[in-house]
Amino acid sequence: MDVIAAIATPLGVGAISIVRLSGEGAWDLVSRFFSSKRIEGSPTPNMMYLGRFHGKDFVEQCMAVYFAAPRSYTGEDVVELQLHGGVTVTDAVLKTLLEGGARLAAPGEFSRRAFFNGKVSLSQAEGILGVINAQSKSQLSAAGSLLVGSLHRRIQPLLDELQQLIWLVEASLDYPDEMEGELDEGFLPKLNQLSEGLRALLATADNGKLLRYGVSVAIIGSPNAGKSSLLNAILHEDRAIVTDVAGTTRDTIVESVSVEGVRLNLLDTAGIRETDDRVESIGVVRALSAAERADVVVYLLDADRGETPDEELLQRFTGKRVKLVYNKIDLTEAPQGYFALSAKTGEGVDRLLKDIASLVKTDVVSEGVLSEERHLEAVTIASKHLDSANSAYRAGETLDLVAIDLRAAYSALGEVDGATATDRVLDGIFSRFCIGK
Amino acid sequence: MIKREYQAIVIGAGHAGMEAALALSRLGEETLLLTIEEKSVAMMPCNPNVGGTGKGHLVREIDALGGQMGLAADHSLLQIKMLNATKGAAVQSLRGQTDKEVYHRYMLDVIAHTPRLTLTEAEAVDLIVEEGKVAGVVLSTGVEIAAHTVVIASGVYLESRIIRGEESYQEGPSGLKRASGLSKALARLGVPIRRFKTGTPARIARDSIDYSKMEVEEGDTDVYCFSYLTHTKLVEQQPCYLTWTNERTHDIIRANIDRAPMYNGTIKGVGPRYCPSIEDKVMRFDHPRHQIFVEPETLTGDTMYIQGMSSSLPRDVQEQMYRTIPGLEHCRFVKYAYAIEYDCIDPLALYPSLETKAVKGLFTAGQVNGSSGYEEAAAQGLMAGINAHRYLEGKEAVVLGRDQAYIGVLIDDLVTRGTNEPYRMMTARAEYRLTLRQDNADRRLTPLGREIGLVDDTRWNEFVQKCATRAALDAALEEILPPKVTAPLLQKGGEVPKTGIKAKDIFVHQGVDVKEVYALPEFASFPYEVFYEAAIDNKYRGYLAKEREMQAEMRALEDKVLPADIDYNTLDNLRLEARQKLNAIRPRTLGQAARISGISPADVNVLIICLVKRGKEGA
Repeated sequence: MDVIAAIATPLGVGAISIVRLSGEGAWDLVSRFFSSKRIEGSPTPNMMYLGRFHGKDFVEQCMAVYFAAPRSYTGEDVVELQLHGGVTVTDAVLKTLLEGGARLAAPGEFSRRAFFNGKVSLSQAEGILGVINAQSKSQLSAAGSLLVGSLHRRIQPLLDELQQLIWLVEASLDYPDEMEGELDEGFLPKLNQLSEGLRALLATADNGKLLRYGVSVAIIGSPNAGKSSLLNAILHEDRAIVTDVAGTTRDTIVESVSVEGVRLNLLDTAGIRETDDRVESIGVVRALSAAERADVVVYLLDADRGETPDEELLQRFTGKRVKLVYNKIDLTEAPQGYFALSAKTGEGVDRLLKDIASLVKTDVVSEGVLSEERHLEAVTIASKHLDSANSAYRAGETLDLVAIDLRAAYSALGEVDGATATDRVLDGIFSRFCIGK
Repeated sequence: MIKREYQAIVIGAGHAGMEAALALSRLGEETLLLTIEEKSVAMMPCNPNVGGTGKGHLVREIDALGGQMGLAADHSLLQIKMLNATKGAAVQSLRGQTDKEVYHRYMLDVIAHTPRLTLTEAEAVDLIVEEGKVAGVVLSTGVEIAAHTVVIASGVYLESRIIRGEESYQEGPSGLKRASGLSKALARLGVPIRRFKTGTPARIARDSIDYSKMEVEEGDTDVYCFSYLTHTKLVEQQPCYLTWTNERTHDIIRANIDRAPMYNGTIKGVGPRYCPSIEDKVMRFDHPRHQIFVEPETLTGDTMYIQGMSSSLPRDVQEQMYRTIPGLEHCRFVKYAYAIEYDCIDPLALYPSLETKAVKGLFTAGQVNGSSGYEEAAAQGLMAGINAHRYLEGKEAVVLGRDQAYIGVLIDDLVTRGTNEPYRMMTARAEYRLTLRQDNADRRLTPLGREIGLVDDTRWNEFVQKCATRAALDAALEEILPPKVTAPLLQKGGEVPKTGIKAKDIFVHQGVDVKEVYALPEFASFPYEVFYEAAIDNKYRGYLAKEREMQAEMRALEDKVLPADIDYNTLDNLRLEARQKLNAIRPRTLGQAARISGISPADVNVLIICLVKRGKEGA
């Protein structure tokens, strides 16, 4: 069985979160990213190792346990990674593993594998049933939400287009006499158009995550610009609901507030205070890289000192939502045309939060977005298969191979909308083309 | 009054009945084969060809298992074509034009030479059932014949009706007698009966056609055979002809559409969408013209089959519209086109063994199960015959997987998903299209056929020999070919090799022609069929590996057999719809349950857990 992976703990709550993998080669996959001084060669099963998980642009200190088949939950090789409970880091670890070759587990798939390997006890069975029921319930309520509705509206036309392409290909394979020449024109442009559509959909993926996990906001600025005061001002704002979010070594989230239904995760960029030290200082690097990964960067400037933005610093955030904010308007006037506030008096703080929230909200509401990891993966996979169909077709590969990629794309994309392929494909063929003798 | 006793009775001697009866008698059962008239034995009442996309695969599989259809088709071949030759090995299918007369006579001859097989002209009108088990049949003469198993392969003969415009006859196809009584018996026993329809075009006198106005359609220059055992190749192929309808044809149809039984409500049966009548095509699609293929029905006879002109319009309209077609201006009708309506069963009432759920030992195969086509019928007949024999022996039924054979896809579709129209095989229906190729049918199925007992020594020895050749070829393909040798092969794909390439890897490169590689002296001693199969296996290596992964997952579900006595209504955690569907269809395995339409993956997971609970609590 291939290696499946999923987050095994509820997202966003709890001090730790667990990413679980199951399947042959699960440890090999993890060991490409995870290292521990205590492991020489292969790990001892059931031992917990402290080590580091190296992602593309982050390092996370975490624990890893390896359970060797058949003595594991699923009866297969299982690896569990215990991470700090932050949503972003858990997500990043999962994503790294998926890119490394694991497949996102379908709901209930771990249990299903456990069942097939004879590993499910009665009490486990009861528990699993609860999970499945809860999952379908939450899926049901999600399905009714505006968000999924609008996502669906964007995926549906793409699915329809893909279907038409498949009809064309399958009909010309099963009805060669009648369909002769039908495929030649229009196939490639249609395929390209569809790929474009998927890419555009993927580009909105981040917005979906923003709504689900919250928006990470980094406040940066030179020492004395008033970052801490601003943070305090935000946290003491009456309308802001303050919750504790466990800190992570990577994202250094200190607090999270909810503004107009959007969760803002405020990142601690205390490290930036060390900018006077050598630029290489680890603290600064970490603070800056946290800011680079943030969804929104608030660049705080000292109006009193007549500070101007550091262009070099701004360049690091190209393509990001950066809000330039002048602080200390209680002391002096800010330059024209800039957002201004006083962290000390609280003037303008409320407006800043609303601005940030609406910055994200507009995007989310105006477009269908991929709110779920699963949808994201489905569209990503579909997009990959279409690209491969495209290159196969252009390279003159035979149509049976092109069809495989199209079918794979369809079954991936169909997961978003729950369509079953075969019936629809056949129905389409018959209603669209005049075939048969 | 019981006249005689047989081990098995097969009702109907069409393509399904033939394979069922041959399999049963070859496996050692005293078998009675009933036919309404001798003329209808292995008759081709519609198109004069065997194979086609997907269907060609079925014929190869039937042959690989030790069935008869491939050999019969090769024996009566007039023309052969490999369809989709340029579209990839996975979708290539053989289609052969056959001589209907020769095919029919060949099968009569096979029956005559098969021990334990008796052919009788008689009509079965009822079934004898004792304690839920089939015990024999009642003939229209009142005679009862006992048997321990019965295969119904009654084709389109049950309560059939021929319709042509205002005319309507209670007849079987081609003016033969219809069968009445049997569908009432089935209904009485609890098998749901439905009404389907199909149609056939006119037969035109060969000498009344002006072929100079048509395009000639020749067979392939590469000559193939259906059977792995056929080694003689067709020397002289007969051409077919291509012509088109035009606006005048369509105008006549539109003007008379109220006289078409399909449109004025006379026909209530459900017809196949893939086999539309010409009036259907004209009314549904706004095309300026439709293709018409003119095909010989026999080598020596005087009729031509007008493929694409199936119709239920009255005779006078048929004459008008056929004569608008270039080449048919002065055509003479030997038989007019007609629609036929008939009783068939809902195949959801069957187990994957093709045994009815209602009566033990009673099997059904072919068009009576809601399929269409000679090949689909033969495939079911073969499996029903095999499983009827295994029923007598008390052995577990042979059920082919969807990853094993098109036959498996066909039967699983019918008994798990059901069908709302006559079911035709298509390659689009197969999930594992690269695995289920027509070239490798023997490797997929001949060992199983041997185990079943239908693969005789001749076929088995040839197969073993072929496997040895393949092993030697695989070794030869491990050799590294120097750039000098590979350069001309890779030229088409625009590649210039710098280092040597393993012979087996060359097929993965773009634009490499298998035949050009085969022409290398290294491979001269290998037969092309074996070489081609190896080339495709290597070319598709990566894709095949992916398919195998998917298959492994499906197999895991397929290996979990569901308890036969389970009452799904007691599984409270299942959705009501799922419970009802599962109770109605009673799937054999979890895999089959998962494929029932309306059963979601979540339902399957719940089902899995319920079963675990049930097992643990019960223990």
